[in-house]
Amino acid sequence: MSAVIKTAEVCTLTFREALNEALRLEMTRDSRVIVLGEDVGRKGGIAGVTKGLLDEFGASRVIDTPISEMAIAGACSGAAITGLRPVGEFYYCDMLMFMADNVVTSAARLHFATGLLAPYVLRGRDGSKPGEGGPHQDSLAAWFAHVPGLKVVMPATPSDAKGLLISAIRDDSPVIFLEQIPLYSLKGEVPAGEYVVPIGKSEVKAAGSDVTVACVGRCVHDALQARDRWADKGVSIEVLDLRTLRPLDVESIRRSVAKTGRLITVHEGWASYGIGAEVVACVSDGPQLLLKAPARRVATLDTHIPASPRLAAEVLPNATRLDEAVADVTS
Amino acid sequence: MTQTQSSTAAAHGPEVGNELLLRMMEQLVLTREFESKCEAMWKAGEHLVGEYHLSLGQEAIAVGTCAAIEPSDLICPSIRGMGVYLCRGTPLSQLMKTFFDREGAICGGRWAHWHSPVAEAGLLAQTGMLGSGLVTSAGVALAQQYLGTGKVVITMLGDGATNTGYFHEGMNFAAFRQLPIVIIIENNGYAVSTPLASVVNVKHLSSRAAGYGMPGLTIDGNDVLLVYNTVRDAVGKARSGCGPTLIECMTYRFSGSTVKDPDQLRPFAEKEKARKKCPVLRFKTLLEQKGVLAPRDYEEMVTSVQARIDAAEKEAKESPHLDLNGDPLVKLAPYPDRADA
Repeated sequence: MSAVIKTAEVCTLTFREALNEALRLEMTRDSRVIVLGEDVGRKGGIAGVTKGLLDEFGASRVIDTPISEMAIAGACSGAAITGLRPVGEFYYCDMLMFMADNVVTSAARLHFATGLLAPYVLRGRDGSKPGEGGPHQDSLAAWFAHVPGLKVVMPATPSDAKGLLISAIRDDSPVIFLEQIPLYSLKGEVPAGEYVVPIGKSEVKAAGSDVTVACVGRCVHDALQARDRWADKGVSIEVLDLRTLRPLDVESIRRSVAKTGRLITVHEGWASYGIGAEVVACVSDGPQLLLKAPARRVATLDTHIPASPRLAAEVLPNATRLDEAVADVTS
Repeated sequence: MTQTQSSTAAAHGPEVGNELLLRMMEQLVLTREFESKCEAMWKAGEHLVGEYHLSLGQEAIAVGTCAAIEPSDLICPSIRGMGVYLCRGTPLSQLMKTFFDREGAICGGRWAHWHSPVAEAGLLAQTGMLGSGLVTSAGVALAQQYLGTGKVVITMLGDGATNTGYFHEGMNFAAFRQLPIVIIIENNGYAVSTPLASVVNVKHLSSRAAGYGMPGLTIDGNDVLLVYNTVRDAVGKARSGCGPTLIECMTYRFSGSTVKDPDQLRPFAEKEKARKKCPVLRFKTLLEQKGVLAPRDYEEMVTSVQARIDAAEKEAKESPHLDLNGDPLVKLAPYPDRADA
């Protein structure tokens, strides 16, 4: 890992390093925490998140598995039911489709059906690779956010990455933890030592009074840039980072929209039946009418994401469509 | 490493005490009588919860297996696993209450009776996604290995489930970590209506074990003593850190895949032939020959078991129906309450 600049209580870390620190802290604190997945040990994880853990905690706790996503998820849930706190890693979000049966059929409903707990985390890379392209660019967060009993988390900053991963490991529910690929090298200040960000709480990343942009993951940074662009034009955007997709922080979304009266959602993943749809629904469900203008959803277009980075940039949520949406709701 | 074992191997196993022999006899009778009762109830059109995958004809596998493991060991039955529930001491009234949708049902009636965990009996949760029990059981075994509990995990699946991707991933996972697990295939020759031989190109499913570097055995699953001895050896190996074993138990189910299955596709002659290999009567004959069981003892065993079953049915039918009022399930999963937001 690169050098850590440490002040009294805050370090500057990359998103990747912050996740690594969260894992290390939790594995030190709780011997029930184990890590398993493809290349998590000797290689230190495909995104470098588990680097150094094998040396520090040994092969009984950091397990290099075969390419067997169904077995990774199954092993996580079986071990979780009988006393461990496993953290399973997947290479890309689309691998979650292999894991989905275990997550949805077994783990998510286990507590409702039996009272037993399956406290495990499945974490890994999610979403697009801007400028790089290729396959494996889906973001299927909404599929999992649909399922009762699951928690779905998608941090946007290094400090949230650390605090939310610690919360996810300590949570008694199965948690899907999604790390958007462009964020891994992002640097930010991260509180040192014990640091917990509660699951289920959004955060206003920048306050505003005219338009609420509810966003998540890498799109939080797109929203912050849009906020700067529109400030010059006299439009004040509030950037609301959802951080957790299930349970959704309905109260904070409604509080923000009650203030601004205008709502745009921005996220990766398709718009139909998607994250934005749920956010808009939780506002329009009432009891009060909060919107002064129709809400707008900016998301991945309802089509295949092309491998070509130039084509993909059109399909993925982008600044052009976000600006159109802002213009629309403020016209 | 694959080998098939014949009945004679049982004769060479360690001497089994009379007490255990009689307990296995009673469990065979219990499973046979309980499931015969269930089959009759379902066929009579009583209003009962869910489907029922009868294990009639296959009872020796559950009975021999459960006799071979410790009470603290953990077991994940197949979907045809009522014998395991019974042998592990699940109260009959609890099962009957589950069928009749009454208070006191397993897991409060929230999960299918053939998937429900019974924690105090070391029974693990299952789902209807065949083969998935193998990978979750591997995870349970991983936890036993890591925590050093000394417990062994038994996971059971039908021949049909061995053709899933789960089987491949789970077998390899169990093998490469040398997990304390024993994998038992109840091979009754059919996946619902489809003959196993028509969809696989191996003679013995146990031969697949070699592909994972795991010992694989094929045994007569209607020989309760052979099942007992084979599972006991495999469990001993697993407990001492020598890794998993695959045991394929050959058997045949007397009834359709579920009680609702008209079972018109399996040849009549085949079914008749299988009934002559009844594992219950076979063990009864053996114990009579050994002088352990007199014909009158057996009749008393049947009568006493039937009385327990009837009492459980009566208790269930007199219990109140399940009621969602006050059920924590309702509180556990509220869609966000907009009115309060």
